Amino acid sequence: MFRGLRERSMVNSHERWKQLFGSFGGEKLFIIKRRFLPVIHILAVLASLFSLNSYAAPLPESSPMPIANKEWQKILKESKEQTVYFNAWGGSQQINDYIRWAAKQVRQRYGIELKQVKVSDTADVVSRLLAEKQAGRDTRGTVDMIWINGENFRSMKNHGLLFGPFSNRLPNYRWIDPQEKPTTELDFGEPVEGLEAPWGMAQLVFIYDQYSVQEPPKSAEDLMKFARKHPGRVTYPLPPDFVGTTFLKQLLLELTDQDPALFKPVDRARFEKITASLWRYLDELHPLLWRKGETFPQNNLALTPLLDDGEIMLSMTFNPSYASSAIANGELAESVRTYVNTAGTVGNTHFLAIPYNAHAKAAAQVVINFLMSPEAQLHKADPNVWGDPTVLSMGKLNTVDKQRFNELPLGIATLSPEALGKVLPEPHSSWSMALETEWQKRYRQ
Amino acid sequence: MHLAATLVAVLFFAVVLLGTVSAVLPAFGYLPVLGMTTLSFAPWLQLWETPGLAEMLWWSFFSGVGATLVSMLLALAFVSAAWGSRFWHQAERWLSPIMATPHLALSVGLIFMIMPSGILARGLSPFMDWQGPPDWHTVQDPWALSLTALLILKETPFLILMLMVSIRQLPVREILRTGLGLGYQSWTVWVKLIWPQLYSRTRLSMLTVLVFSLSVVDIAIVLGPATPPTFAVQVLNWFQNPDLEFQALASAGSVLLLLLVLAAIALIIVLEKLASSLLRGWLTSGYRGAGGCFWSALSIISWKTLLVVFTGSSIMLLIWSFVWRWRFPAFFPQSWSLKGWERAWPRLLEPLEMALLIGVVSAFLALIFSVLILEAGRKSQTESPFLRKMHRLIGRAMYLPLLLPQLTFLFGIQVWLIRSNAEGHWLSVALMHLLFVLPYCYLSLSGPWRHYDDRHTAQALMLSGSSVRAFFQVKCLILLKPLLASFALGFAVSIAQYLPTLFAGAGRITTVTTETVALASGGNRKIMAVYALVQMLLPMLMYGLMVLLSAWRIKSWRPIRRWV
Amino acid sequence: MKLEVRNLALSVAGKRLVSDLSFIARAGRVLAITGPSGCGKSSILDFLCGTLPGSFQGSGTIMLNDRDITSRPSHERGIGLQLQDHLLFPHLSVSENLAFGIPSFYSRSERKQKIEKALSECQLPNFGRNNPLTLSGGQRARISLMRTLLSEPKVLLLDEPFSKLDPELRQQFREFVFNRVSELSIPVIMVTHDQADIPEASETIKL
Repeated sequence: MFRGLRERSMVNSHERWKQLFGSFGGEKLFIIKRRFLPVIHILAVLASLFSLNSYAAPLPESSPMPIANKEWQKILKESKEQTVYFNAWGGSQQINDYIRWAAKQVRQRYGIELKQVKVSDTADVVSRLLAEKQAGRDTRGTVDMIWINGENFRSMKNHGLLFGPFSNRLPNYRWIDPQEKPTTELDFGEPVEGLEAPWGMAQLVFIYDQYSVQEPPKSAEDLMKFARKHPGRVTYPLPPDFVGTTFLKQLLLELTDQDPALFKPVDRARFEKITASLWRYLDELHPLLWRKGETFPQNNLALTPLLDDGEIMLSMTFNPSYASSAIANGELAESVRTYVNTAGTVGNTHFLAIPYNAHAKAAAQVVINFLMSPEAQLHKADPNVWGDPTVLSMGKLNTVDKQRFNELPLGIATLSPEALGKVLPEPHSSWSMALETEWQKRYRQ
Repeated sequence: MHLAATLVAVLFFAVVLLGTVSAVLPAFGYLPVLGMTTLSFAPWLQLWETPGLAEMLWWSFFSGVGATLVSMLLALAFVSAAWGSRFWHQAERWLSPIMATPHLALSVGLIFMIMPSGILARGLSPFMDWQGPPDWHTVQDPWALSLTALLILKETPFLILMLMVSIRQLPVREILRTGLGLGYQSWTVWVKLIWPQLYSRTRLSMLTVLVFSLSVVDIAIVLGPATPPTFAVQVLNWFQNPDLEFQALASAGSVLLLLLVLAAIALIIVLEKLASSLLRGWLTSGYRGAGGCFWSALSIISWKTLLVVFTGSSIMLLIWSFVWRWRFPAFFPQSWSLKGWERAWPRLLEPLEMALLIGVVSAFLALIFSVLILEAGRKSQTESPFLRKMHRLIGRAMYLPLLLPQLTFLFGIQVWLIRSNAEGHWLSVALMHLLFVLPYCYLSLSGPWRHYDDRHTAQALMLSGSSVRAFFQVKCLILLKPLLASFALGFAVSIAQYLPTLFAGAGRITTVTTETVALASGGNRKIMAVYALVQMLLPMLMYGLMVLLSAWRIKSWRPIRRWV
Repeated sequence: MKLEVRNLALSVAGKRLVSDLSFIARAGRVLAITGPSGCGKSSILDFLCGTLPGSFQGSGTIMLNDRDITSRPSHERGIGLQLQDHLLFPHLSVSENLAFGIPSFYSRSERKQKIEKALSECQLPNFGRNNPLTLSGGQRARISLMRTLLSEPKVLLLDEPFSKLDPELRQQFREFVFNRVSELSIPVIMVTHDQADIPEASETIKL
């Protein structure tokens, strides 16, 4: 449940464009970013002036070779009693519950205190880390572990804010098969290079109630017809909610027949031309939407009660088993099902990373290794817990673990891996922002 | 003692003023830590260019001023209609629970009533032939009506209480007899003779309502318009944006919020002056009134509506926290379950503990400081006129944090908290809460303290020979009930605090209140209902506990009192 | 003008204060009701005025010029009540207090005239703009009485009008009141516990 760097504020769109089109090289972005130092961390600068921190030397580059047992024992020993501040989006109770479960496990097993810092927008954390770097707070940073992918990852990687490579050396990385799940090595077009550890998989699926909808619309074209037939009963989450943005990407991929330009950084000159079909589509769709497209639900979770009440007839989520767990929680009716579009839907992987200045690096690695273990992944995939699909490869697991995964109840509304069909690769991460900004400009001003 | 009291008071104002100043300076581009030392108007230009600025300001202003004026009118009308009737006693029973209920919990309950699939629509649906929930824009409506309604719902009882307190200073029965004897209808007597006198006595309370309504953030997030939000919410969004540029903008915004508040206060004063000169002729025109029964009945109906909505909201919270399935047109839930509580409880524990800890500590500190200041003030009466003057000033200035928008000075204070590395600790949060808890405790205690008969203490002093014993064993025991009530009030105020928790907690301290706001965007009604209900019950339980305690203490300490 | 009261009975909390009291008050005369404090004298006035508190029970018939006004609301009875506190409204000036009594049908200039006249009768000609709180007790009492008289009551009730004044002022105000009363041709009912208050030419009811 996660998204790229974003801003919620409307006033910012102008600034955004400057950043986006004027500066994708890196250096200039860096300079602009530098001006955006949060005031809080300026104060951290002051604090650091007094404490005269010595700066840690960057870690030596190491080849992606599994950590030797001896070294891992050392890390385990070091990690004891450490507290890991895990900055993770905190808007979902199921996810928070799962993190609580994990915290209990690592406390019992490794004596590590895992604390979730619930954030509403991961981009805030990235900016904070950037500010800490500017302030020279190169050790004892406030963030030990961060849940991340896409634009945020790219931004952290480019600014040298990440610890590692570490992920591909963790003991439990052996269950990962990049061949089978290419998105575990390529995050929104950006090579992972061991700087973040795959945690879970996501794919856009649509939710409907069999009771009221017999034939859900399985393409952009059908959706338009559906909306025309049921005016006011369709909507999508307000971009920059990540599901809202993904929905825009889904439409764009379908309407442009997966234009190869979408998988490269946004080209300002061609942006208009490539996206023209999308805006035409939305211009037509919006008057047919819930509240005539004047208001949108603030986030994807807000669609659930609307669907349950019958205010809308279609909902969407980035977690294929979300609908099943919502049924299990009594939030949706038993008759609710999910579907994907005939052309496939957008999917990606979300990751865990350690900031370069994290205080509890050893413990963070131990926690991440635990979260990648078949046991933790199995618990996470349980639709009664979170239902987040595993990143592990069934082919690499031993028979016992494999069987456990196979025995997991699929959930009444969850599609089987075959039924989920083709995963459409995410467009390059720069597209999220470009689409959001243009959407804001067109429909919010 | 004077020294300690003065120190506490001065520290208190210094923090508020320092906070305000610290928030104002960045608004003019003065941020020395960043190397920005030249004053500029750049943030103001940026603010000026904010799309929808006028709209945001207008809806803030509309909901704030509208809610205040309507609440005041309703409160005056209710007091007039209820005086001497059974409704007066009914109000005395109801006001405490309503006042103790946090705005936020009530707003969640109100949402469950008025949303398109709320109980109102469910009740209407059999008659309306609705296929699905109606297209009602009742929650987060762009006209801020639901926000205004909630403010009225919550502030009217507060103003009624304030009016009931100040009406004791008026010879209401004599005024009524005189007025009736001159041939006036009783309603007209109230409006022409009692309202003007009551108004001037409750004006300050009304202004605190105004400032609160204009700058409220938590319920505006939950219930207020979303795109664009009310101005205070927008300023908070800017503050939470990690980009520096937004910090300056946010500072400018918070200053503008302060100006908005001042403008609204000025408007109220102008309206007041205008009314007093325009209505003077009408006051003395000899018009004896007509239709008094109508207005009086209307006020009682408004009061009853208020009670129904309040009770309904609470019941909706209770129902939703136990609901399993409740599809739209059904008036009653299809199935019930304890799972909402089961799921919510383990993760509720930590914010609950935090809220309790912070609430108890800040209410306790507030009580001690209030008593300290009040005692010093009492002593100053017999000492130098300078001290007396100073204490009168302190008494007035206690209103300060209630007359400034929270956002403005809290941000400034947060800067200093971060500077001293004190953010994210529960004690910092409790101290931040103290800024709002102390005024309420002080104001609620100042009445009983003023009415206390000093002869009790003098007598005790003679008998025991110890001023400490005389104070604790006599004065505190005689004033035990107001002391406990004040503690409960302070606790209730602390529980309801959102912004101070957010600012001083730095995301690491979460209370039931911050969690409820965070959950409100998710839309899981069961969990929301559980959180809101817990938030609602906390202060009520504290009130109950204090009532029990005062009854028990008074009984068990009787021998000591007799000994005295 | 005459006010007739038949079979008046008053009780509070089951305790009987007055029973089966009948009397007639005639125009231009003062009917005095005397008795110890707490015997229900003031409550009789409240009953006549229609301002009896809810805790009291009253029964009986009130006839004003042979019309039954018992069930009329108090503002329609035309009975003026003067309290012992001589209450003036502090948010209004002295002349506004007087204006408050004048019926609304008088024109602006008539009102002004009446106020001027009342002020001079009270020997307070230049006090119109003053706040009533600046007046002395005796001045307040005179203004307050004038205000009641300006409302042109058909009956005037006086509730212990002199009890709150100093002895000398009391005498002065007594004269002031009885001079005014003798000019008016309306019935006056006065409640008092002081025999000295009762003028010679009046009837007296002892409770």
